[in-house]
Amino acid sequence: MSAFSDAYAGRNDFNFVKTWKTVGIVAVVLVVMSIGLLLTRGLNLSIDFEGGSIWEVPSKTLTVDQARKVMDGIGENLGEKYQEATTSDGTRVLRVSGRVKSIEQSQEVAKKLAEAAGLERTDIAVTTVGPSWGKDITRTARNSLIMFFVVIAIYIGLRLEPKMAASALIGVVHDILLTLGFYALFQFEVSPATMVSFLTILGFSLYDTIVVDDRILDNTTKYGRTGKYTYTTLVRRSLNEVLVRSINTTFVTLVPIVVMLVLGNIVFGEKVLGDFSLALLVGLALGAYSSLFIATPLTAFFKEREERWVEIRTRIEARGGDANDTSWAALHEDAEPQKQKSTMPRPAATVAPSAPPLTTNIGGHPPRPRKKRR
Amino acid sequence: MHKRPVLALSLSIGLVTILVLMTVVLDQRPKLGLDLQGGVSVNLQPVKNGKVDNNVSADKLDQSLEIIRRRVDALGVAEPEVSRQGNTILVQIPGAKDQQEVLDVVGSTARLEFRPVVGAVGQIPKGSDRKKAEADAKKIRQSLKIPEGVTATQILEDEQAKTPATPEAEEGATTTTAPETPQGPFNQWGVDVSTQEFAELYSLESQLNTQLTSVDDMKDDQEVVLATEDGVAYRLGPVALDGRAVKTATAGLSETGQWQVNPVFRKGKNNIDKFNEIAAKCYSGSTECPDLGGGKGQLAIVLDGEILSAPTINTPSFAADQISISGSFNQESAERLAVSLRYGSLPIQLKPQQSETVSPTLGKGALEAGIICGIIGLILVLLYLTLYYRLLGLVTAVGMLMLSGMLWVVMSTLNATVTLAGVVGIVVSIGTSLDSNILYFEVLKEDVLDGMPFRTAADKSFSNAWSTIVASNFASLIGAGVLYWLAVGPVRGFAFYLGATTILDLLVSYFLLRPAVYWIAHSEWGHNPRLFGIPVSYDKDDSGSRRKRRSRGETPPSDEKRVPVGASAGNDSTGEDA
Repeated sequence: MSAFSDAYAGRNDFNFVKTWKTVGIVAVVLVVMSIGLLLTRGLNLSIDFEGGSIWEVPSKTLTVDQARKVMDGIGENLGEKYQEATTSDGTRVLRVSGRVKSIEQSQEVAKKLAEAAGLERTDIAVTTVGPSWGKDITRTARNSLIMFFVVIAIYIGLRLEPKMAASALIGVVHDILLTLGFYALFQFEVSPATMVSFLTILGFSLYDTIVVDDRILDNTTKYGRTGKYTYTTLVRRSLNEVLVRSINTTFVTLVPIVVMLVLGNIVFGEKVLGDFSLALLVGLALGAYSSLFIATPLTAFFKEREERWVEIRTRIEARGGDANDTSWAALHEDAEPQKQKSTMPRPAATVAPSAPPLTTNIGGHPPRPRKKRR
Repeated sequence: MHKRPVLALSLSIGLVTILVLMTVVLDQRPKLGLDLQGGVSVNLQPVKNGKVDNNVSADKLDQSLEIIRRRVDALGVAEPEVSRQGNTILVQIPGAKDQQEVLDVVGSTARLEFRPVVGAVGQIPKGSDRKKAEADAKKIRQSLKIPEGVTATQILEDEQAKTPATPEAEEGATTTTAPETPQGPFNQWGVDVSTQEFAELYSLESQLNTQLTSVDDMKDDQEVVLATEDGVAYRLGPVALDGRAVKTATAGLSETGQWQVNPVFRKGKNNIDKFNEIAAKCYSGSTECPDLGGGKGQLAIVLDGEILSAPTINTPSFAADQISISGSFNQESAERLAVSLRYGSLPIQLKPQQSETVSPTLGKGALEAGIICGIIGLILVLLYLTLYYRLLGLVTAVGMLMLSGMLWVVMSTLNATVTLAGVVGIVVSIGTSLDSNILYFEVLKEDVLDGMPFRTAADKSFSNAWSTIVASNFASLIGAGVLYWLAVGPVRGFAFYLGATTILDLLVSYFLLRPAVYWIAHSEWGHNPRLFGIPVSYDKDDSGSRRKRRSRGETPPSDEKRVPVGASAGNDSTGEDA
């Protein structure tokens, strides 16, 4: 049976555990690389962070050279970037950015540029950011990030488990580092819009992780006391149970963003939309991946060291079972009879003696234990 | 409530429809942020010795905000927005093009002055009133046949100059012949100046022609013409004393229960003494502060070129802390005057840290692109969900429609600002909202595959999914809350919409999704889980509730005699094969 129809019918039992080692190594390598890139190449910060001005000159004729001449006339190396862009209504805009010391100087530049392009000063859209403003938004962002981490950690710790909170946050840090690394590698510009997207990534990554963790908690409550399953087995089961939901959710979340990236940026030429959607695209995909492959294995890693789960592991091994076999036995035994037609002979004989006699069809749905009061 | 799904559904959908209709009828709509509408925005931060000062009290920032708002209002543009975000004062002036002008207006330091009133000009018509006044004046001019370019003042002056001196002396001399009373009009345009109409025109024109002194042209030692907020203009004498003389001011109730303002002046030569000096003049109605009909002179309190109040001076001399300004105050206006008196000048120094001009075409393009992208994205997503979850996907589509409607209502009612970041926030939260649906559908599917009858599962699964939905949405809410609380600018707009949509999603999930699925499950369609994207095959031969089930594995060999939970309700959909 194909992986899709298995998943569609809820019979998937993907061996996540097998991937963990590889994923772990890859994650460490990527994080190290990202940090390296951040340190060596750094981020291409937009003018909003460092102070300066952006002038948008809506002129059909003004060339980059002309603009450069104007800028040089006002101050050495004043102009920094010259970009041509076309807006959605077809106007050509020359975007000039540069480091001016004051808002007054920025106005002077606007006036000169307007003269050169044969426009009014007020035709030119000017954005000026004081040097301390950039520092200030960076500081605000950092503060809100720390606050966010603290509050979310407390929330997950209380609502779920402290160890889950720790893993979730590590997962988020991983996502952010990799996204930043991606930006450092390709030198995409980091603007305040990008920051908004980074923050969204945090939210989504955590959101996904909480959904997985919630299921793990459910399953450990349900099956934990039987003493037949290691924590890792339950984690693998939970991951498989939420897999379709994760794929579907990620897919439906990404669709609007891809549309925004493709249509917004390329067809409409809206730079800001592009800024937003690129970071979101990278971040959301990462967030979904890290919830399944980074945060959850970490939870398993932490929890397996707890006395209760170590005990279960030893007991399983004492009974001669394989504690490292994390597959969900019932599913694999069950796979064949799914096809069964009533006219067919019952396949009891084909089932291994240790397996539950499926043909009786009894007890398929275990009683749901009461949810833990939270 | 979900047990009576039709009632619940009609209530939910009805309520949303009514709210949306109300919003449309009342013509409430969200306003576009500056980045979408075009205009000038300036961020101001407190500075001290040239450096950003983050230890400014919120109180002082609020006072500065109030003063700046007053100044921006004076620019007379539509819907300017002055708000405080953390330590920053954000001034947004939609439609403005000249950044320099805005910077000049918000950057200067306010001045509070006391000037004696030397003459009343009257109501200066503004806006639509002004248009009406102009129209009235025109009508009168036509009826009096006054040629273009000639003012009532000119006519009156001409009339007075040409009127022959009244033969006063003759009056007493002879009474036999009636005096040849000269009949007007004498002016060169032949307008009868004695009519009611002409008097009206004269006053209208003088009001229309009154030029208020602009803040820049105000000189301390010269007369100025200024108006109150309501447009009542006065001629004012030179500055008697300025805001530095006021130590503090409070608003309170007088013995008679009227709201009044009690300023306390500083002691000394430049302060209360100066005030008493001018007070004495006003009280006696001297030429510097003449009596304008009330028997005593008035002293105007002027802030940034606007008359806040022009109280009549009823006592020749005051003790520094025994002054009260009474009049037609209500609590709000009294408190506002007290604040202005206390902090006439900005209590802190503010410096523009960021300024931005957005051209309306750029913003409009981004908005349109954002909306089109959102709609296309949503359609694609709903198509996918309908393919995957069939009927449930359609429920989702209805849910999203309701969510969008409610979002529109919330945005409009709060008159929230839609920024580009906000649009992105909405597009993004489409994902979270859909997730609530997917979560529920997946749990439902799982339960049915586990052997629970579809109809039972439709409701039971919801409680399970609900706890997860709440848990994860709560994390989003916390995130949105923290961001809204701490962040400035675009991040804040983003956080607002993320939070709003998350809350709405919870509501829609509970009050729409749940009853809707319950309802569909109990309809004819409910017999066929395949219509809901659930690949279930029933065994025809199996009796009663026994159907093919997938074990969840908690069933070790020995456990097989347990009775399935779903069995009791299982007769719902038994035996029916698709």
